[in-house]
Amino acid sequence: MEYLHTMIEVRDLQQSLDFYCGTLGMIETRRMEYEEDRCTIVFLCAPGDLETAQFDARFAPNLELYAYWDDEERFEKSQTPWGHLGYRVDNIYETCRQLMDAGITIIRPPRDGFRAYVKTPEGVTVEFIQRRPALTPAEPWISMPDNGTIND
Amino acid sequence: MHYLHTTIFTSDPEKSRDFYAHLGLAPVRSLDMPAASMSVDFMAAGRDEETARSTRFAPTIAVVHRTDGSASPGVSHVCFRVEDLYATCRRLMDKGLTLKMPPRDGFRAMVRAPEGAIIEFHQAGERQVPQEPWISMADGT
Repeated sequence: MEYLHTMIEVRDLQQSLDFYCGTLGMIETRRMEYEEDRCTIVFLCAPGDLETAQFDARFAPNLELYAYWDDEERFEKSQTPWGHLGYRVDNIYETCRQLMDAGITIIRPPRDGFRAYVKTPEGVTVEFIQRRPALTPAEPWISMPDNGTIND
Repeated sequence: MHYLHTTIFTSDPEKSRDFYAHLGLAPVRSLDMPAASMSVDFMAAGRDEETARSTRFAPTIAVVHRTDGSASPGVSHVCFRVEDLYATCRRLMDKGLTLKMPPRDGFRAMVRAPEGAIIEFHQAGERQVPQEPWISMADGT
């Protein structure tokens, strides 16, 4: 297991990029536009982290800026700009199995064999990402519904 | 400049330690700071332990308990180590930003990013000699 990123939700992406990149000197490592979810995600790293942060195989440590395109979705779910902390795991099914055995609720099960979310008792969302390639979707995960809401 | 940690406030450090251990994070350093009314557990994922236990001290989460109950649970801020804390703070002020916490001790400073996220900076290596204008500068919002 390894740390990947901390997510920050922003309304004005350009203003945030001016701050993180323009003022602090951070570097954009990846940008993704999601038509379906109507959002743009930009990953940034500090210059001293570029060696690991820019390569897909490691891709850490980064900040993840998450910007919805439509006003009504922005900050709809939470009052703070902070979203989840992301970690990569070697086998997401094993991780989720162990968490469930420990009595921890899987907020979003790894139905796609790639991604799952849990929440700490005090409400911090933690994301688990399968080390690529994604696992083949399998039961019991495929049929398992969401259990609670994610602060992204 | 490199990433150090994300700080998460907790009201129950023992319960949090157990929970994060279940997630796969191990404590790499714990500090008790009664003078500052706080304790902190720095925790790292398995593959991050080697660098987290080195002088790089990253990447970790800092699980902080304010013993005076002054902090509400949840993510508080992210922290980066910088080569010259005073130069970083001057750059922020030149851009018209107010420091949430000026580097009065020559080691730590905080600023609010647009839209409110708090970013903390630690001086790399030895702390700098405390000096003006920082010593007399009051906290911002």
